[in-house]
Amino acid sequence: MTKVTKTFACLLFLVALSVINLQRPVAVSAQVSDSALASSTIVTPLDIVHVQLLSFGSFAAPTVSMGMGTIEVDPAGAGSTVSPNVTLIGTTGFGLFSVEGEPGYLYKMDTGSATSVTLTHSGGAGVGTMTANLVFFSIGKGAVAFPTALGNGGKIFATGFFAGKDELRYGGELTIGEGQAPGFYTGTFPVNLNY
Amino acid sequence: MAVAAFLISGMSASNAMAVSSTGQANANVILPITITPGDDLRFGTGQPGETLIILKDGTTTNNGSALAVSVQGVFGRASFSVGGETSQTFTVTPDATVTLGTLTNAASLACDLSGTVPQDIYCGGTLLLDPLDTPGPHSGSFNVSVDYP
Repeated sequence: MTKVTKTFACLLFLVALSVINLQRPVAVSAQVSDSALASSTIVTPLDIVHVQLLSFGSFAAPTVSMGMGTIEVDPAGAGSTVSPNVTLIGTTGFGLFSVEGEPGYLYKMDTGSATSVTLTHSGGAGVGTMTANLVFFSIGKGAVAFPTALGNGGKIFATGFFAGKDELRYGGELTIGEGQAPGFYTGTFPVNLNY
Repeated sequence: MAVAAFLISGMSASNAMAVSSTGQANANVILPITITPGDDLRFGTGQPGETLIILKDGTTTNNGSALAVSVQGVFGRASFSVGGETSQTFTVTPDATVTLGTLTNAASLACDLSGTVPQDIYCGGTLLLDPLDTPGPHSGSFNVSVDYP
């Protein structure tokens, strides 16, 4: 009986040695894996800087009975399209964000619940608002155009980075009312980015 | 333990990666351009066969031509007041001619073609009276349009 017991104890010892022997190589390789793990999870933080705003320029609004007018600014830089009943003075310009992040990664952009931006009268006599839809364009992977209108609750999904940098441009179409009150109009909208 | 540490660090990295900014759009609506007529263009008095010339500066001339005469009677240039966005330039598009009643020949018009708000603009004209024109007063109207360039 005692002999049997010793044998069992010996077996247990051997098993224990085997476990230890098996664990040692695993422990060594785990250190290697730790190093690889660290390098793969360190991702360049996203950074976004607003460089320039979207300008619809100065213009004379349609007079009463001329109908609604529009000014469309192309975010890709192709200029603007103006309805015949609007007289545009000077120049327009697309808005621009500079985005930096991990090269090769995709990032997601959303504008919260906004699908447009409301411009509110903020200077001169009179009151009023105007609304512009938003159109985005990224040059991160060449000329990759975004949808012409925001869907999915104002969310769109952007392209990736080229060499860790992207230029996220935005334009849109401004709707101008008949007899729109003269003055300066401005409005803002949120932009959120995430990997 | 190592796996747990990876998951925690991974979740933290994802939340920390979100960034936000604000876009902005601007527009400037300027005052609409307006034009209000002032004085009429008055060719004064002439005889059949004569050419009546009214200059934009309001004077008259025979322009060196034997057929053109110095206008008699009450004459003067047409004037218009242009309003709108101060300091904004504008262009003028007048009719080329104006027909005065039953006169055979239409009068050609010569107007200021540009300006800066606020400004008055003027039109003169040249009218050749035909020998068969009927004596008496004659009048007509013409259009002048202004717009921001």
